[in-house]
Amino acid sequence: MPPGVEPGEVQGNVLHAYGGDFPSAHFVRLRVARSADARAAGAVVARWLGALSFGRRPTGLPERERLAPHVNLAVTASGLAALGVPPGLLQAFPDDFREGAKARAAGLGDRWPDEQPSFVEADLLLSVHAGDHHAAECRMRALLEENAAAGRPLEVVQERPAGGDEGAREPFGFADGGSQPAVEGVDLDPVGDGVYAARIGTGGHLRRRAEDLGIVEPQRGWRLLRAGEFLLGHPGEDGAAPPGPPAPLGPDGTFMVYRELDQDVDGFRAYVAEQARRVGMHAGTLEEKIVGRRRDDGTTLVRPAEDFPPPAPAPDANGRNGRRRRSNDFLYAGDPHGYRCPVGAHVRRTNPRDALPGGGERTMRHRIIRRGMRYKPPENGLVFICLSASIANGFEFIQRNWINDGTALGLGSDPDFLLQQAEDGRPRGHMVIPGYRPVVLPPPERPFVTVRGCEYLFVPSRRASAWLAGLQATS
Amino acid sequence: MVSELATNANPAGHAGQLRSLVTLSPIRPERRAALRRRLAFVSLAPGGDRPLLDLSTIHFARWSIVTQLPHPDGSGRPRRLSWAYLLFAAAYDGGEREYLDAFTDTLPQRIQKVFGGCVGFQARVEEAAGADGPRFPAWAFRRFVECNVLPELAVAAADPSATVEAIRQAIAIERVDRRSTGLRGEALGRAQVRVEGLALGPPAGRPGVRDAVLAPLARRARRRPGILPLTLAVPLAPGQEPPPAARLAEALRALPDTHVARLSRIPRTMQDHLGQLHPDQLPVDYLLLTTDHDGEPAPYAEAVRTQAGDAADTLFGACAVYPGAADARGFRAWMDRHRLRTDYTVTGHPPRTVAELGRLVGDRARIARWTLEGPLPPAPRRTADAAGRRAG
Repeated sequence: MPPGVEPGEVQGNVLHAYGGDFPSAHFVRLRVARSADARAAGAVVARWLGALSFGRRPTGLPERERLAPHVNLAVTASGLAALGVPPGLLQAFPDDFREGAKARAAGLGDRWPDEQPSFVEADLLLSVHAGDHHAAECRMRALLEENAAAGRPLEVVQERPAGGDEGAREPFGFADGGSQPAVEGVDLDPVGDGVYAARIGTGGHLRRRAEDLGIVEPQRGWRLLRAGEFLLGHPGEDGAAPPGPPAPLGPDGTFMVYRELDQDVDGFRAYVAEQARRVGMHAGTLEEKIVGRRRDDGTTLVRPAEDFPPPAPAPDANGRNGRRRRSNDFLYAGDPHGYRCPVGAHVRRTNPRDALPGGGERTMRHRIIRRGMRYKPPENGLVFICLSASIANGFEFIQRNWINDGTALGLGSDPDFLLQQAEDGRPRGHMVIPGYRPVVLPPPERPFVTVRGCEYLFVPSRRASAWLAGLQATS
Repeated sequence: MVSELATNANPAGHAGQLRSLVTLSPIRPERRAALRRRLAFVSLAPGGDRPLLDLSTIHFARWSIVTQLPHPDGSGRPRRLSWAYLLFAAAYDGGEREYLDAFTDTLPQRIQKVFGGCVGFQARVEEAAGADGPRFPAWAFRRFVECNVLPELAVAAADPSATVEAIRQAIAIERVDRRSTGLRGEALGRAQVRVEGLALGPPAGRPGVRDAVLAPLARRARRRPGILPLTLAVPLAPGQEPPPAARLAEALRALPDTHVARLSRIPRTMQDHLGQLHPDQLPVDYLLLTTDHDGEPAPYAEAVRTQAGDAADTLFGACAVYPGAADARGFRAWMDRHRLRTDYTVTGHPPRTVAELGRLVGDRARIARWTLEGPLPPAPRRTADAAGRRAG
């Protein structure tokens, strides 16, 4: 383990997912009431900061304690200012975070600031993860009671119950969040989740020269991603720590993108059924081609389903079972034209692995940890949550270069077919499913996914939480 | 720092527009000979371009070792510089940071061998995660480029919206079309399907041995130049300034048979860019014109003079002892005197003339539009899935 990575310092659900025992969550976005006493608001936040969960979920405890709800807190730039963080320290945060999601929405092709006036920006995101909705809501009510007891210095902007009995499946019916980055100092096994990079410096002089000239391919293999891609204060793939505030606020903290995505399930199904009839393809197959993975087990389309054995009982070094590990152990280089998994398929675009020209190294600065959950049924949508040490390099890069534009993948200006937004009233992007005769899917009448709103937040570490709590005590 | 051709700027911040970068970096004296050998080696070795072509983002790139500049008095006689400099000029698709990172991440050895001899290049490597050997830190290269970039006055391209991938696909369509001459029935149908596939993407694939190795050898053997680079370094007349950027861009666009053209400025006081180590103090600023054009230099110069004389006068009117495009002999001699040699050049796609590329890219776009918007073909007998399984 490299020096400095202390998972126990990092808020829970960042490096280690809460996992299948916690399928339900309750998110509440709050802001400091205009009429409120800032100190009273700070005092409430300080109490919440003391209740946060850090590090990996404890093991070996009695079930009652092991499954106790977990609390997390993230703060926007305006929230940090409201909590009394000095302006000089706020300036040390990167521009993307300080400007916020609303100010940067246009650059990402987002229209929610104009089209979703009901989504109001907040200062804080309080979340509780639990084994069921009831437990999550009860814990959240208890936390909000502390706010009520203090005279409601924080007003609730929005509540969003999420998750459900269907586990990790999102409303279109596909497994989600299966592939997460393997991080140095946290995970042990990079296969499938790390970065597929050239092994530089291996082999003799002649081999290196041949690699340099492109006569032979460099030897490649999976390796772990550097912790600085996801945690402030640690070296990233650049070799330097990502920009962020100094200790104690910065190190072991990270940035979160909270995004609410409404999903038009009926529209998606109707479109797929119509197109399936038109092109003579099974509707389920067409859905899988659009998404890029199998519906029933979430495995990749680039390898035959027979490659994935039934779940193995023994977990691997990362705590994943054998099926999960094998289902992630794949590359796109063997399917360059997208005959098995279309180049424009959603999962291939958002995590191209080795599909970008040049190799897998080109993805290593643009990986994100995803902790999204579906809306609580019957609502159809996804609370998309991603974490990385740089919002600009992570979420914004992916949105701008891989989702909104296909140039990097040789698809011209076509956006991600599943996530494309309406332009002048309706989506414009086609999707091509390569094959003996390419199948062209015309743009749908309306988007399958609509962005309801977005927030950029800072997830403080244990030390930063203590410092923030202390700030309230001294102010 | 890097110019962007904003003719098709997208408010959503999409990538995919051609961008340009020009740097001038002093070379450490003890590394100059090795660098010259290196550039000669990669330019002569068959397939030496292949790793760069694999990136699929580079339209054109060139490296020159500059040891002298034309004399500032405008006479054109060489003025030896105290140091040798590495001139690097590139036109590429996508964002600047992505482009530079792609270099360092996928071609670290090449980067170190080419730029490692320059002052200010931090050649140290560090252990990579996963203990898979050393690697070169990308931030060091970004900082190096930032310190050595030349201010760009204007840039123009024949088709700024055509990406390298689109051009490669357009050329691949041309090949299929050529081979399908005389085909009938099912064979013609297969060719048509192939064309549709290429028009719609995805990519035509990485350049194979044919494009990267055999074709350049054949061109060399037949003495067909393909697309050639031109670099002109011209001293500004004392007290003179070039016209505004909009006029310069318009003039660059008017240059005939030119794929990409950029006008940069070599500042008189280069220590602003290069730090205290740089001893060369130029008496005047220089304009640096870099173009990638069709045909041999002499016919190109004549085409510029005859077809875009006004543009040339706009570009160089503020330069010392510029004879003007009207003076045929003087103009040719002036260009010869101010030309810098290029040591190594890379072209991201098989060479075609500007006119041919315009036609091919236009054809591809028309085929794609027809396939997307026209009457859709009937359901195939064999599904895409079945084809995929067979291909896999």
